[in-house]
Amino acid sequence: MTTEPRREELLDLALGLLEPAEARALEAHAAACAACRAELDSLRRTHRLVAGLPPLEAPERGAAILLAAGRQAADLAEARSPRWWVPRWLAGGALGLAGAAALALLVLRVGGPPARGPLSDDREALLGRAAPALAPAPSPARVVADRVELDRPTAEAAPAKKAEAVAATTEQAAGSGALQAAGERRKEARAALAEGPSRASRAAAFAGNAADGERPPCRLEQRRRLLRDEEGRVVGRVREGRYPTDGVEVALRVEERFSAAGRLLGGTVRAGDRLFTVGTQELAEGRVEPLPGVRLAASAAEAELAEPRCEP
Amino acid sequence: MAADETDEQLMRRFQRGDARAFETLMLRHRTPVHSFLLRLTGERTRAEDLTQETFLRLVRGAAGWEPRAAVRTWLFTIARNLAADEARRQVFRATESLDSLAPGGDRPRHAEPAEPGPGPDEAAEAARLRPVLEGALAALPQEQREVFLLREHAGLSFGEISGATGVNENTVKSRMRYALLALRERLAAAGVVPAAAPPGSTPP
Repeated sequence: MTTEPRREELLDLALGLLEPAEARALEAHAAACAACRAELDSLRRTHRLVAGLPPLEAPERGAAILLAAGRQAADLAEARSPRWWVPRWLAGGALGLAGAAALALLVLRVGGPPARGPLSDDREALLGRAAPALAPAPSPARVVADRVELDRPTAEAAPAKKAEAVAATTEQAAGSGALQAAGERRKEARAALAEGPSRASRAAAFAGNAADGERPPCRLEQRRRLLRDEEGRVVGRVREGRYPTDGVEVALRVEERFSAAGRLLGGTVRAGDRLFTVGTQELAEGRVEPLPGVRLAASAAEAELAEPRCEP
Repeated sequence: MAADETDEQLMRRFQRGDARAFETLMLRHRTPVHSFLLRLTGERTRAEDLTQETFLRLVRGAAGWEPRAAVRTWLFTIARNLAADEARRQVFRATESLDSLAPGGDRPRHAEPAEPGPGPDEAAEAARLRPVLEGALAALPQEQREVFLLREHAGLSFGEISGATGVNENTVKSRMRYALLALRERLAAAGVVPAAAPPGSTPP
């Protein structure tokens, strides 16, 4: 090699940017030239060390939510093939307050025992696909502490009819999964999807909130609790309610999860002893309000102050 | 077996309604994507949020995905763009440090200079040097760090990086060169690698 290599060439050699012939020539030069060799070694060692840094493990807690979203999308893809998932009324994003509850109910209808074999056991429970007989599943992420922060029962007059309709819907939804064949369930799912908007309002009523200006059916005992992670940060919120209707107690439990930034990541709905996943993608995108009566908290402190909105 | 399938095969199955294919995809790429975002943003919470968002976008976009696009490249492009969008929105954000990034919670940028350590066991040495290395990476300008991470950690080609970042390939390469020089300078200052030869000393 007659010409002195420029520093850039050595850089390119270290980065593997040179053509093979150029690279061979420069290697040969460096073998004979101490300064170039030292420079090349230094660059290569730097490159090797930094490029060799190990990956930084993703925390476990997000995986369950993603699995739930994937599962839900896959179910809908299968049920509605060839068109994919979200029906137009949902995708439109004009749902406002009722949205999340509608989604929740939607999932209640679509849900049920899996048509296919289960995923790994642990996730099964997280995804709310566990058999109805199972004990209450853990919340979707690694929430260790579940401290009671608020306990404020409210007992107010409810529009009785609405409450009954709501109870009926719930029972039907809860009972449907176990008994129906997969094909039938799919038909149901399609019907539920098509029926969207009316379900949205019923769902809103169900969750104890007025989506359309009416007063919520507030014969509902509510408890609200905050979920915290190991470090005491608020990572989610639980709402539990009881509707004592016709001697049948329907317990509704809604869990939300939001990021430290206050963004809702997804959630689950529990009816009786069954746990269902709320549509996470719409929630995460902010196209749908989190839950009726529950405003998204911008901070953990705000989350502590948030009150259920249920007035006489 | 799902584990042997390519990303693209898995994506096809997911499009047809197979949730387990998504599970495999997600488990395969979540840590690399998170790792990329954490090193890019330097903030755990943000990286975690953006990782979630990246995969939710994959879920939402799955129906429209076509086999020409490599899933891995697509994922990192989404991740990169989400991070870039957010960075633009949050110009004034108080930069949370990388305090807890390195094991032991040392802030890598100010890690004490390591021994020059001529140890032959480079893996063990790399572990010992990790805070310094993370610090050097964190100190790079964003656009250089992005290119370095996409190339060396995500394994994208320069052409793919050009597509993901929207700058031409020559610019990508020159960012890579600057990145390597800046890293070397940092590591040399920490005594990890020999310093650059002083100008003019380059021999024949």
